[in-house]
Amino acid sequence: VTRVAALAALLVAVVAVWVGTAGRAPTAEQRADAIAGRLRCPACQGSSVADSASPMARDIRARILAEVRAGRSDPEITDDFVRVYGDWVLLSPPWRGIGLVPWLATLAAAAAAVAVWVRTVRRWRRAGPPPSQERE
Amino acid sequence: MSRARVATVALLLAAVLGVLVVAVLRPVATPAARGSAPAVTLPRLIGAGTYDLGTLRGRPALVNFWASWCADCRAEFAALRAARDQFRDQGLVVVGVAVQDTADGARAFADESGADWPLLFDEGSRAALAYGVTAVPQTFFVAADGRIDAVHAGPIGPDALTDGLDRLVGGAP
Repeated sequence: VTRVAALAALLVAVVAVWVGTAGRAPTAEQRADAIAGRLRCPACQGSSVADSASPMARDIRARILAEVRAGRSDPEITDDFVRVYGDWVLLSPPWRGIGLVPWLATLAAAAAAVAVWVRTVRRWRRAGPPPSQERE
Repeated sequence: MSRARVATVALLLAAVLGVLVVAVLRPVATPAARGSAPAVTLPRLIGAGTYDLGTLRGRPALVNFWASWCADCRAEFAALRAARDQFRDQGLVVVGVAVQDTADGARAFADESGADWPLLFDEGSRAALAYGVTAVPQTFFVAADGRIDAVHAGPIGPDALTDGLDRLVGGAP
């Protein structure tokens, strides 16, 4: 009974937090942080604009925040950087053009791994139990 | 599974992995190199007033992004001066843009280097982000029609400057 009560309390707490935050629009700072987290810092070694402490990343964060406050949408702001730097500036490759390659390659690699695993399991089943078990 | 099949699967996986690595680690693209030089107005580093990079149209130009903390920029300034003198008759304009720097540091650097071309101060990296700067120093070769003809990231030497400017003005001086 204690466990059930504890689980119920946890569930109520999770639902309360979800209800409390789901309908709330993100602040300008939260939106700017999210956009910065999706962009690669152009003058850094592979870190995002949000994570980098470089002066250029700081300037980009300030620009993003100013544009969010000016009423521009997230895609509009991101597209400006893509226009200048190309898709390279996006930390996650886009689902178009050459950006599809890493996604498709990952899916193909996963599919190949699953296929090899299925074939191996089937082969094991067809072969029956190992000789040591047969002797028992 | 036969050895041949294992080898085939391994080869396929290696090919997929190779494509993945190439796609993810492809070098920095600089699409600005195929576009027009952005018209950004910046304050002059020395003296009052502003300079509109949009006014570069009509003459070949070098737009050089630099910073006082950049050791390579010092040597590069000498090469820029030589190139400016060499291509003066072709109307070459050299513009320096101090970026990711303090105004005082950039001014001190400019005084020491003796640069006598327009030097601008890019507070907030406005011009750098419009041009697509990825490193300091970085030099943009701008054709007379305003098109960015080439981009050189990192320190540029006399040979690369001469080659780029030969292409820009359509023949050796």
